Amino acid sequence: SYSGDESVASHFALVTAYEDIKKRLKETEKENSSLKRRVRILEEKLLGSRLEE
Amino acid sequence: SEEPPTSTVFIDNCHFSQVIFINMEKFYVPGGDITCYYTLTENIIPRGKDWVGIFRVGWKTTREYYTFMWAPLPGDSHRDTTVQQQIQFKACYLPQDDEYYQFCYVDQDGMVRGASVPFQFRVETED
Repeated sequence: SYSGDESVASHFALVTAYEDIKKRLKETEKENSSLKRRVRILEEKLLGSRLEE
Repeated sequence: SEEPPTSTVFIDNCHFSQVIFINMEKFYVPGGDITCYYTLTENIIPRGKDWVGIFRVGWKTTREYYTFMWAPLPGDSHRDTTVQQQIQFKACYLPQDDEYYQFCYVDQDGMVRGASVPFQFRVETED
């Protein structure tokens, strides 16, 4: 009989979901920091061009 | 040095990976039909009352499925080889919220044979 396996199955399914969401979080954080860097560069560029005027 | 107490009981993951969900999307457009693609590995003998359910991530029992479809039986070619299957879920039976969901393949004994990565029903925000 498979009784008792259901909690193991539900745990396995949750781990599968958790691992993937964790991976996505990492990717999103990486993208976020690269976007922040880009904003900073653009801000400096903009500030520089204003100072030249 | 003293080792901490452990156990040799391990979760046999292979058991839950006999069906592999493929071509997964992170987001499905709300209000649209979705197609679920999966591979039956050579370790599973599919039976007539196997089904694929959509479950909210964090489910506790297979009775908590949001919706389900019977899993189609493959042709005679499925023997000692993997076979790819697909199931279409109609939009009207799908969740309306943006919670995380996953597909699970449940056999006719109620045993989970595969679980997908999670997905949501919402438009991907790409600026």
